[in-house]
Amino acid sequence: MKLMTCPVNGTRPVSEFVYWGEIRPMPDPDACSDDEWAAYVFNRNGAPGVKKEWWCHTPSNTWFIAERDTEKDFVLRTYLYGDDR
Amino acid sequence: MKRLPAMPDEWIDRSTVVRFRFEGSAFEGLAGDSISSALWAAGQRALGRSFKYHRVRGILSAANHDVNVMLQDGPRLNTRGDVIALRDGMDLTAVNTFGGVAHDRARVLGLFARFLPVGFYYKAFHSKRLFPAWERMFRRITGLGVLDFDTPHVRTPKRYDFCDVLVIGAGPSGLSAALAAADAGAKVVIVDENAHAGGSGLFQLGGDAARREHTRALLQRVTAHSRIRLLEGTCAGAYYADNWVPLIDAERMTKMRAAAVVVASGAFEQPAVFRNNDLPGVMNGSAMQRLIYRYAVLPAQRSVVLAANADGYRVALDLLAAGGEVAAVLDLRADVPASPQLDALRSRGVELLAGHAVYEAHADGRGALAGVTVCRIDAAGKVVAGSQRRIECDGLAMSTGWSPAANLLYQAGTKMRFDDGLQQFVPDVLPQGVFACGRVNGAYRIESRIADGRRAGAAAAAHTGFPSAIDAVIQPETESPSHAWPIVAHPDGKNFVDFDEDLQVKDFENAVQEGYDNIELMKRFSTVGMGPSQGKHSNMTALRILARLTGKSPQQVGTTTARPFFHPVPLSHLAGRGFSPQRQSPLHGRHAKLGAVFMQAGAWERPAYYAVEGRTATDCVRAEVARVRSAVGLIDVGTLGKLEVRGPQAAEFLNRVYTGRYDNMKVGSTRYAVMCDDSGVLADEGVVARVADDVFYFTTTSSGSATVYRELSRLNTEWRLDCGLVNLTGAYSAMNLAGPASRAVLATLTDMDLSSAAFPYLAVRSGLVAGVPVRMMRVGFVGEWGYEIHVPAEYGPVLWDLLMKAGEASGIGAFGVEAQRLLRLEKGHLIVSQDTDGLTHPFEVGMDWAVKLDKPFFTGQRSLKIIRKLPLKRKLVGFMLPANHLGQVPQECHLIIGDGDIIGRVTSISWSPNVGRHIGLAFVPPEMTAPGTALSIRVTDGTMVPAEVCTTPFFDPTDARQKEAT
Amino acid sequence: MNAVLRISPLFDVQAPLARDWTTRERMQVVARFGADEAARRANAGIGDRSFLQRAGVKGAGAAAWLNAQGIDTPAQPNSFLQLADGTLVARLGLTEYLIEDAPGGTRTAALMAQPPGERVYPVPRFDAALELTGTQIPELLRQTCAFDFSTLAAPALVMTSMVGVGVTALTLDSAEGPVVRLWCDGTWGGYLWLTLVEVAGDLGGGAVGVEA
Repeated sequence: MKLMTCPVNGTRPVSEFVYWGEIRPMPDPDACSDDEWAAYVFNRNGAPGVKKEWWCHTPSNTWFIAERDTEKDFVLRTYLYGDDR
Repeated sequence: MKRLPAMPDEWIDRSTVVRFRFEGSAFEGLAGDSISSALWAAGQRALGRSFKYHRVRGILSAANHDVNVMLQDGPRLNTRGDVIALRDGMDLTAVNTFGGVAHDRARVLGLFARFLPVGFYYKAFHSKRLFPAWERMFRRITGLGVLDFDTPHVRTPKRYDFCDVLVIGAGPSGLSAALAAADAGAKVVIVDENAHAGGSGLFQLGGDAARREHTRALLQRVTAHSRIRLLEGTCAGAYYADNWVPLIDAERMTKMRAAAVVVASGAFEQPAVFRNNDLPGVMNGSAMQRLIYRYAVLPAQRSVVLAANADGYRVALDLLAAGGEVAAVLDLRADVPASPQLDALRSRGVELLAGHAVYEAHADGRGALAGVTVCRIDAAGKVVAGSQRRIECDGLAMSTGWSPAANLLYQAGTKMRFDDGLQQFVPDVLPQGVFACGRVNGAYRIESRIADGRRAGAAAAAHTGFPSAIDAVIQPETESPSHAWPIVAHPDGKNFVDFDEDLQVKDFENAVQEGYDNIELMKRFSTVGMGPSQGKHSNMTALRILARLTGKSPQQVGTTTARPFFHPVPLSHLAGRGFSPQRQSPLHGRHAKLGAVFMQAGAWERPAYYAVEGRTATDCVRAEVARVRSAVGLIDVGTLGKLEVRGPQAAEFLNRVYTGRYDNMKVGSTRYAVMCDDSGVLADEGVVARVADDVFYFTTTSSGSATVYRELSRLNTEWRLDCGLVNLTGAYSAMNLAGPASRAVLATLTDMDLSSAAFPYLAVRSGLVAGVPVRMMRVGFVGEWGYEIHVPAEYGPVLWDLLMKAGEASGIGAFGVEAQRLLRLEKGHLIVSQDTDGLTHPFEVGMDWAVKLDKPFFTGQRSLKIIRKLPLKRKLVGFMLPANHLGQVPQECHLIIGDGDIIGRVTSISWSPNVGRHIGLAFVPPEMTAPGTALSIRVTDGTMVPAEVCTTPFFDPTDARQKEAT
Repeated sequence: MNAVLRISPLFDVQAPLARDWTTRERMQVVARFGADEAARRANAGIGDRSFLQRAGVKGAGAAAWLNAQGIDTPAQPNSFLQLADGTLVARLGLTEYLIEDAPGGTRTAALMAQPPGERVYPVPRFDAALELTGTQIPELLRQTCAFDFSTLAAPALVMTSMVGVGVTALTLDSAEGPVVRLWCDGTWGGYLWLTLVEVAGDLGGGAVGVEA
């Protein structure tokens, strides 16, 4: 069972977490084309590589960001949203 | 029962005799015996029958690397004789026989071997007409035991455990690794699947008792070390991500999390391949050594040893030391290097035959080994014609090579490479935190194994934060521990490679001829390695054969991967206690006392209805419905998600997450709320109550509460609006007092002004009811004057009791989920995820009024703007069956058919006592939504049921029930 | 409201097993479950502290607001402290606090009567609160939770998952040795209590009452 590290609560089995998906910037809903909007809503980046993802530690309801290499199955670091200096 | 004189590390307890039965006969063994060793000691040679040809089998590995000795002990299946300890009263039978081991009727299959080549079943049994008959035959013939359906249901609790370094295998290299890691400061757990630690260090002795000392000294230090826990009889069953290893013992599974893992699991001896190499009496050299040193059993009176390395010579010396006769030692190699073992054997007068192999083994009348025909082989391994010679013997020790027990290394993602010198796969690239040592790592000399263990243990400890300076110099091997081609061809075959599956050399030739010439295809077509021992004794040999047949090197052929579990694991271990989290309302006990029949609603238990003596379920539900419509009922709605958002930007937050506007709500009012996802699909719904300027209390569906709270938390983490979210789902109890008499009942308990001027429909008010602080909303879900009362959970039961008491005079009764669903259906209210699906958007279900597309932003807004411009594909409408409808009644998800096509489906349907007909909601094409439109509903058996579209609500269309009676 | 009886989240599951009841902090609590409570407590006692008064608060302004009311707050996230009068102040994560009165305490009532300040969000709670005592508790925790409790030492606390439900846990010293305090949402509490009592039973322990 893989381990994941919550920046506030520490390293735990991945069963204590929920994965939301990759951070995807929302295009301006008032300005973008229908196609651009549909791509945002329905398409996901399937390429392997390092992705910034939303994860939640459910016992504490802590949302954070994980930088995860989906090709090597390795988490580089985790931090609270906005803390990625 | 004859035993050898006491062996220094023997496992048996000679003072305790164990009585058991095997195949209907009584036997005696000793405590500490395995079943195989006890039977062999008693002179029993036929221990089982093989899977396909039902050939007589004896001991092969004595280590559970084969399942020649697979037994059933009463109802206990999968009793593997090599490793299951003997117990008083065992009643054992061999599996897979028809009439017992001695007279197995299915042995006749051996005569039809010509017609049962590899993969024969793919070609012979494909006729559909005959298949049910073939299937029945196969099920009868190929079982490995008989299930007793009265077997008691055993649960064994699992547990977790933690350590810095987990060492798998307590042979010489594992013990050495454990000590190095613990000396560096790490907390070490070392496990060994055998009943006692020491591994081959305590039985590959070559007649030299001093050789044990290497291992005994390590073992003594390990048991005394304060930072090492030694777990014997414990198998590391698999490797899962991040060093998560299940440890299986006789009683339970322990889920061990280690910071580093050292795999010191050793190697599986591979049987040599020659005709009749499966006769009882032919066994691995290490099997003979286990019998001698663990169980004090002489494997045979007169043995021939087939060797190709120093291990084989040690087997011969161990046999001599135990008092057995060694008629000859054959060496596959033409040039045998000098060694002390060679000299010792020469001095004992043992005939040494270099460049020789076993051509064929011969059985006596009972089917056990009586002699072997040996022959010379040339440099390419081919038999030299005319060189055959017979030697009488009742034992043949095969010691020609090894395969690394690398299963867990494969599971961890290790890249292995084939080492030509060692003739073995060894780890090439190990994953982070995983280390290997000893024979699995290609180190065979005892000094090398111990040094390699020190190196690996120190490296593992360093990885977990305990560095140490250990200089381990590992000498390279001087001879190959494994022979490249221990296989002798024979025109009459029966030279077995995989003993579990009865696969002989020509089966591999046939498979390659048919085109299955890749290791993965070869495995699946021939089933090599797919039996209960999963290739432990056969995979390397099969690989060598495939390599030669295809002209490739073993490196090019590659290996198949290994998957959990390493050895069979009882289902009771995997089941554990079986935790099933259950959520219960604070009013649960009240419901139980009232005779509630509970149902699962997600994680919650809710009353479906309240049972009344002598009444059917349907009648109970209808009575509850009638009571709400005519008097007053009380329902527990505490499973609703209850959230609070508070702060200067609370309204802004709600405006963004719901489709409606909330900033313009008056304090004290409520508003229905619909939540969509990014694509505009209905995700959740509830009611928002503004209890203060900057405080909103809002509900979600019962099944959505956790996910909605979590997602809203994420959104505010991103948006950072000046507000905070609190989840009150478990902290608040909620109940709905509904019916024409509800106000009168409530009025007896409170001073709050309940007039419709002071407390209009859809308002929210706070106050005290019988001294309990409450927040109440007048909502319309069931379509009656009523109050949804929210109260801190600790006061819920008290309030429930007071309301039930106060309502007695009015005929109050509790009502459950089934009644509620019918009541809301009569009002045409939808239930998200019952009347909506994964594609339903608000415009399909008549919720245009709830969607404020002119707001600055809300989740799903852009998508809904796009959808709004597109033609509708379907609409949710009300429908009714004809009055006095007889015959089948459709159910939810039955389809609506038009012109032979599916054009819609039923989402809700029920008999309505207040309307007098069956009513429901359904998706229909937009052109069929006019009231009166005829519908055809197809029930399960194909019958079509007529219905017609109608307006909703079905009952009280003007909501008169919410207005003051005039 | 002072007269209104509070229900324990564990009442329904305890009722079939309880022998004697009593009242603490206006909540019915089991006084005794059976005859061998001392032995159970020494092995693996599952005690009930749900009756203690509790309040929760969170938000960026929560710490300052609590301090202004005379309630000290822990400096480290996921840690706790006890005030001189026995009030327990637990810092859950970064900005959420659980305050639990000592028996007879009135801090939480006073707290909830205060209007919340800016960026202060009250968190009403209905906890099932348990107290685990005895020599077999480490084994019980090993059978129910994947967190290594041997690494948990006061003043740290942990939020994790036990037998499938979210719990907050910490260890305290007491006259009888180390004690583990657990809190979980009351609607999961019945299931948690029943499960832990079953596991404790296998270890020579079980439910213990307040007057054991």
